[in-house]
Amino acid sequence: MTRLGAPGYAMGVIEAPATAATTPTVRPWQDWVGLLARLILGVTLLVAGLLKVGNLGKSVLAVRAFQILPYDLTATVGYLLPVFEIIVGVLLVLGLFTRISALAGALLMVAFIIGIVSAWSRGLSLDCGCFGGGGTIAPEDTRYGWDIIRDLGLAACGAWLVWRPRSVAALDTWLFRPISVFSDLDDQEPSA
Amino acid sequence: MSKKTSRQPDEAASTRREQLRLQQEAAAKRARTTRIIGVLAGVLAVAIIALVAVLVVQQNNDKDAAAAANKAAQISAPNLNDDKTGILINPADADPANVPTLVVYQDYQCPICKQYEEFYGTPLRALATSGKLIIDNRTMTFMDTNLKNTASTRAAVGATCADVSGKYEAYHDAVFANQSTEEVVGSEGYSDQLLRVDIPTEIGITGADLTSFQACYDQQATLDLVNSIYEAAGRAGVNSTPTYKVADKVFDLSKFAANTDELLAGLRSAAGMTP
Repeated sequence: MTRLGAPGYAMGVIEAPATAATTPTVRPWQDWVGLLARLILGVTLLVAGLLKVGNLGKSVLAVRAFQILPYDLTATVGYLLPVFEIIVGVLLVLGLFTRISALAGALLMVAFIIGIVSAWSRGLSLDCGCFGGGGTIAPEDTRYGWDIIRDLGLAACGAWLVWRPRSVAALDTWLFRPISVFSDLDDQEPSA
Repeated sequence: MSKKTSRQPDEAASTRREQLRLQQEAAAKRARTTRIIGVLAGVLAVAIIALVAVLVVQQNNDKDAAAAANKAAQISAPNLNDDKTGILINPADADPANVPTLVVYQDYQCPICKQYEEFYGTPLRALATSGKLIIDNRTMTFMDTNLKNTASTRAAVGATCADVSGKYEAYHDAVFANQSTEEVVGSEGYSDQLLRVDIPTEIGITGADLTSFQACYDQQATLDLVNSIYEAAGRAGVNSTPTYKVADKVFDLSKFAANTDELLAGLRSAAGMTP
């Protein structure tokens, strides 16, 4: 009830200050960083998934080339991974359940980095198959360093969003908006 | 604000207002929770359906392969190795204890395999023919996945069917000799005409042999064998071709010139045998 003392009420102005406070007209810069992080990680995952989903058999071969997972798991992972990437990518682009989606995206990137470092350290020469393709390639054609730098950047985007999920143009803003009954109430008079 | 004359109604009104506010707040909270749970359930439902759908597709692909294999009684190949993981060339003339075994992983649609075959095929085959080497050919078919066709599998079925007629080596060589120079995704690769008529005729499978070869090819009678050889290669950690192995270790053929003496010395040394 401390709100009764607010200046707006004293003046008889009914402008729903609670709503105004949660969606200020000028967004803090962090919200824009959030949007950028969402789009970079989300669009990358979406594109990576879409490029792979057309040939899931090839995705299995790409997983197999890393020689990390047991043979019997490679088919399932190869089939599910592109679909999972698309789901997480779409959620990030929409800004829906941003924190958990970003966590999933960041963990995917950490897994990819571990896979690439592992392949590199074992002297395998392979295309990571990150955007379709994949499999063993000529040693001089490998680009592990760039793959790792890219995935580190993408993991950083995910980490930012886990730490601070709020961003511009996110469905979360609509979904998790605070309840706002106060402003309506002030318009109404109880029939005494 | 409405005008009030006494404190009592004002307080009553205030209490009612407070109750109404609490009611509306509770209703709004419920609506908010329902909205969040609804959207979450929707997202989860779509995600689970998508993931399950993909797994069903995977299962169906496996079943299709199995169903195709059931079209005919499956047969084996006479020169299959003991582990059923490859086709041996000239095993009768050589004792694996005294003669090195070169394991060859190839895919009939792999262009570099063809290059290696052209460069090293003749001296390696000469060593095998003279009883100084056993060649264990393990044909993979992953190029079918890469090129989205079935030519590697069909060619491998043809080669194993030819083994029944005693013509595995000639068929194997003829397939590589006829490899398409342009391999693009979605291309047919080796045609059925080539694999079931032209090549067998060229290498001298005739008469009743040709009839039974074509029955074997048409009914994919060795498809199970071809698939199990491919799977064994994958389980052995081989995922690129050509890969050569001696004594279970990768053997870098490119370090050797294409002459029988040098190759034999390298192969024997890799197998831990005196040169």
